[in-house]
Amino acid sequence: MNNNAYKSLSKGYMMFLLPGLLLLSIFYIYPVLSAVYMSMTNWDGVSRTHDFVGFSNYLTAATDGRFLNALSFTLQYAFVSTVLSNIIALSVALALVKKIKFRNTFRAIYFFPAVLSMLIIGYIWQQIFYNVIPYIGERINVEALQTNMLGNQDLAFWALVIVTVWQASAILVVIYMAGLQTVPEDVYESAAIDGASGWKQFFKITLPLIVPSITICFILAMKQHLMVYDYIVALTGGGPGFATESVTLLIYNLGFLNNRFGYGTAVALMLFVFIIIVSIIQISYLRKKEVQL
Amino acid sequence: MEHPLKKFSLYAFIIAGALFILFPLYLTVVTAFKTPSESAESLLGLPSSIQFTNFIQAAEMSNYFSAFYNSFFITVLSVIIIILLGSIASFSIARNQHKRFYRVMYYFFVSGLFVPFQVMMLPLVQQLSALGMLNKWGLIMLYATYGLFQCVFLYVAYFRSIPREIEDAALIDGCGVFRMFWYIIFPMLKPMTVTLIVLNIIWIWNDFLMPLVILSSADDWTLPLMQYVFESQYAANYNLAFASYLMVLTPVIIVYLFLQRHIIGGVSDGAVK
Repeated sequence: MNNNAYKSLSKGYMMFLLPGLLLLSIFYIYPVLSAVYMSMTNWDGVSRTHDFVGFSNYLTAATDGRFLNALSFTLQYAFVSTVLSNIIALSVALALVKKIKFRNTFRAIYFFPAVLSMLIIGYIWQQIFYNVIPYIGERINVEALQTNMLGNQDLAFWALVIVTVWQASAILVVIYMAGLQTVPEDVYESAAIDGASGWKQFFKITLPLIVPSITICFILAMKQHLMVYDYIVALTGGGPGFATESVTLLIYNLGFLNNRFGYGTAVALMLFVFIIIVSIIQISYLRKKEVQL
Repeated sequence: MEHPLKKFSLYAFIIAGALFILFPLYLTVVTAFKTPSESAESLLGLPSSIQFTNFIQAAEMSNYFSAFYNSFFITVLSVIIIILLGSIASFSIARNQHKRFYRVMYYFFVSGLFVPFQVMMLPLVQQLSALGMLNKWGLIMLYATYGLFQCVFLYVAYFRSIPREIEDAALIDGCGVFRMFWYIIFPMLKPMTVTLIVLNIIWIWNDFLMPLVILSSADDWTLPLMQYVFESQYAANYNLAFASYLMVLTPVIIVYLFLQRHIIGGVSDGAVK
């Protein structure tokens, strides 16, 4: 290529990058930097003035019962939902990669929740917990089913987990199916000849070979669940009391209801740090388990 | 040959799971078509007749068509901007990996994948309010920006499979950079473009938190936000509530029925890459 064409090419490359770069600078970098600054102020979000308070918002959080409660709820909810949805999705995927009839139809049904609005799904399940399950409980005369799970401090947690697993497993099923299809058939054949049983094959062959899929699914699910918001709004509103107030809901409430912009932003940055830490732990743990054929 | 009992339990498991998935949707459809007295008689049974009064009433109550139009407009415009700006930015990043500046740019774009929206949420509301953009235009700009994170991540990876020789040949033939991109490169990205369109439509159409904090005027409300605002009004009428849920879900259900193969393929490709 001659010099002229090369020059116009590198100019072209720069032109291609600029619009995206501009958007990122205005709507991503600038707000992130102002978040870092704002988290060190006592701004209420309304008044004209505010004071710089250093790290005191972060120190406040360390002893703030409401924040610690939200954090512990969110971590427990995210952990339980991630583990359950992965176990269920992997079991379904193992069944769906077998030679079964209507496989594509089943796959389409299992994937369906992934395209639906989390808020609307939350509302539908809210009606199920409020109306349908007590109705069924009355019909079959089981006392335990006759109360609304969402009104009970301990059961509300599990109600949220049920809804989450219902929807979040959908995408994981498809990812696990794609992963399982990369395991070559002849590995199983030789294992069967060596006399390895079904369970042994699963733990010694299948599981180690699909570690990349497991990594993706855990990180994807964990990040999504740590940021849970729509379900909480639709199902419990954070209640009963503060039993199901997630960190994201707390940030919203601090910022828009309690006029604590500075503190709310500090909490948001801590959520970000938690997501990074949890992701790194998962990646480094699972990378060690990875094997290659 | 497999043991028949094993085969039976396999099918039982898959069918039970499928019924669990379908139950809330079944409930939504039958309840939406029933009158309150029919529901009082039998909560789970089929409606005695097909009547659309619940839907008409719910649509009038909540201004459904305006919200549908807003959701549609915001989704389509945002996706177009994401694909256009994302593809050209990814092209220049992918083809300049030997230059430090572009490598830094790559990490700059991809870093956004890890930042929760909540971190930016409160400063952004202030910033957009100062710019007079607490409306659908501001929201579109946000989607366009945050869509670029994943878009650049997936396109740059995809560019590795596209040989550079074709571009070089086109440039030597005197084709301009822009024409070369649009007529030669962009069509080759098609599989990844389909994936990205699917992923972004699902995200933007269903998103609730960003419209909640950004859209200040009722004229701009999207479907999920409209549902949130009117939810308390449906509290007294269970059937009306389900009719409104079904109306929000229906566009997605129709698209899914026709394009499910592309949608499943697109989403799993996007996640695995």
